[in-house]
Amino acid sequence: MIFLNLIVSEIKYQFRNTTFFVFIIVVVLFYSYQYCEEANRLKPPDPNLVYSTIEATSKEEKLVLGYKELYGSLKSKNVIKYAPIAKKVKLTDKQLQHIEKFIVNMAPNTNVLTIEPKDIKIDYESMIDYMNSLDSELGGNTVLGPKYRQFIRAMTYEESLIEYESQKDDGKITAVYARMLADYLGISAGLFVVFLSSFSLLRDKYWRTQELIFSSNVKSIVYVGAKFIGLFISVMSVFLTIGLIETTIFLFQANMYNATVNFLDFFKYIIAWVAPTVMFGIILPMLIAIIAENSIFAIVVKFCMTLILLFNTELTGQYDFTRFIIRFNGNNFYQQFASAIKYNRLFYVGISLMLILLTTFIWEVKRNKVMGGILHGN
Amino acid sequence: MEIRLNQVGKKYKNIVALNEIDLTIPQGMFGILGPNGAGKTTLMKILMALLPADTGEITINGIPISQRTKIRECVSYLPQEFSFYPYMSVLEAMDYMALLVGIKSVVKRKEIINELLVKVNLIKHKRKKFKTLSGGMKRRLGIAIALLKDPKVLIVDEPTAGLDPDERVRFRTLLSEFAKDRIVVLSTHIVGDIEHTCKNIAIIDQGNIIFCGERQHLMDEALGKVRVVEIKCEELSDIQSKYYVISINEANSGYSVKLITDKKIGEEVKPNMEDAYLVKMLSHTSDARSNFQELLC
Repeated sequence: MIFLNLIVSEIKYQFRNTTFFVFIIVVVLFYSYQYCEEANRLKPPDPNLVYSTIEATSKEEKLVLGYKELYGSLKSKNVIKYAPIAKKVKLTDKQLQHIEKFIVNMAPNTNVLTIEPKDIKIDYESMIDYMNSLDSELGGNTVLGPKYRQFIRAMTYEESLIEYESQKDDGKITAVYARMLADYLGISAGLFVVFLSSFSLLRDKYWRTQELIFSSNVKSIVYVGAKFIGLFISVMSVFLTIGLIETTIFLFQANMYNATVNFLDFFKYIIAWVAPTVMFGIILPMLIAIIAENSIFAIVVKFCMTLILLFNTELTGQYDFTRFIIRFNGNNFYQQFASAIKYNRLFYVGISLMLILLTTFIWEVKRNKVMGGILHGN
Repeated sequence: MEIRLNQVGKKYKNIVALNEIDLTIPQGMFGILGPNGAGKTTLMKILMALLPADTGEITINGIPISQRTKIRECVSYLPQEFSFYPYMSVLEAMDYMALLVGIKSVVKRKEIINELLVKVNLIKHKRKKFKTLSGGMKRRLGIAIALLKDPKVLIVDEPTAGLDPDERVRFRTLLSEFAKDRIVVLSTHIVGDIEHTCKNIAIIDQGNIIFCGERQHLMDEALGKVRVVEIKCEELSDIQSKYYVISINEANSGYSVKLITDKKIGEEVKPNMEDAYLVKMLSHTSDARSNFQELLC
């Protein structure tokens, strides 16, 4: 009961905190200018625009795309492997020499930027055999192997139209847009939640209420936990409201375009993908701030971490344990990454729970070691 | 009901904040007097289990200080720099702290809060935001918050700092009322705070307890050491260089100077509490003069 009341108290605080309103404005602007700009929703595709990507079907196309994939591996000297989280496997010098030899035989004297099907001198099966053998050599589950291999190209207008009709009819379209929304909201969560969370525990110190709270008989886990959950609910309420807005738009459009929508998809993806990012975005700065006793330092650390992550993450496809934000900015191939994303999200829920315990422990240590008068600047 | 300290010591690197002190604090108002930096706040924080002592033993009503949870159940603390979230009203602040001290029932919380706000004369201001309260109101709110858990021991650190004389008197009276069936430990560097409220006092200086006992004993010890001399204007600097001057008043032909000395000069006067404190401090340390000046200011 006390725990619940403290949570309510924290929520009340957030909803009359100026920083929280700034946070809402920034998130809404981000949503409006990033997501809404791209979101076609249930409107039919425009013939003048390029929509998404699609798996190539002809062997000729696949040979060209396979050549580019092998060329990319040669240049980056690594191959992506899912185990089940995506990670880069470094290629040995011997393997690199083999790849180089293979692609030279595959399309001699060819520029990768201008390669066409007529430049390819081997058949499709030979290329697949080579990719499979390299995949086995690397222990399987690489992007070259049968499980994760894809030959992707840009979608034509006609293909977009077919895909649109299919998604519109079977209700998949809300899931597609829910993933895209979760992608943008995840970025907002990663970047901006820190401005609230880094002050959450140190607020007591800044308002000189800390000693009074330390000397009360509240359990440390109750106090820290209530602050965490209160802020989590406040932040998630903003994201879920955006999810509600999107759901409402889709429900209206569903009538207009005679489409089927799933009204739970937005909430599902916001909770599954964005919530762990919010959890991590709250508790890590709380911990840093309480250790360093400095909120600004926590903001700088977390903000830089997020920027570094964003600049080093592809729009889709990288879900190893270092990615605390899920980027999935595309319409297709979700099933291929679903398991990796699931493990990533579970990892961040787990790590956040552990960090709550660690923050509580540090808070308890600080609670029992308040410095005396002259050393406290009095 | 008592607090016992046995050989309690605390160091911050090379600074000795408390030098293995022994102290027994009985029921009622107990004043801890000392200049700034004497170790009072450190002592208060140790008593509140907010800071561990390096050496020694402390028990509060028989409970060892190491049992922090139990200590926090029966001891309340009003810190030196009491403040609260400025956006909260008096009522919200009380309710929030009532939650933290573990009062689960809403009805009981309301009942206790109203009762305490009446006691500290803040009931009319219960909707006011903390940031709009005067210094005295804030202190009274602090007391009300400290009394939420109905503590056996109330520790108050420099309670009247920054208050005007009216508020100061009202605050002391309030503390005296609460001390009837409790231990109230009042730490201050202002002699007036304990002069009329604390029967028992301790004087702390540079981490040492230099006096512990009844207030009257301190006054008795100072008897014969406080004198008033009438001097001419040109003699003032000479007197100031030879004696510890407590006060200087203008007189007809020059000045009337109150000073501390063992010499039979001028006229002996009955020392007040502040005089007695200064005599004690002077006898304890040779470099106490700077502290006296601070106190006189």
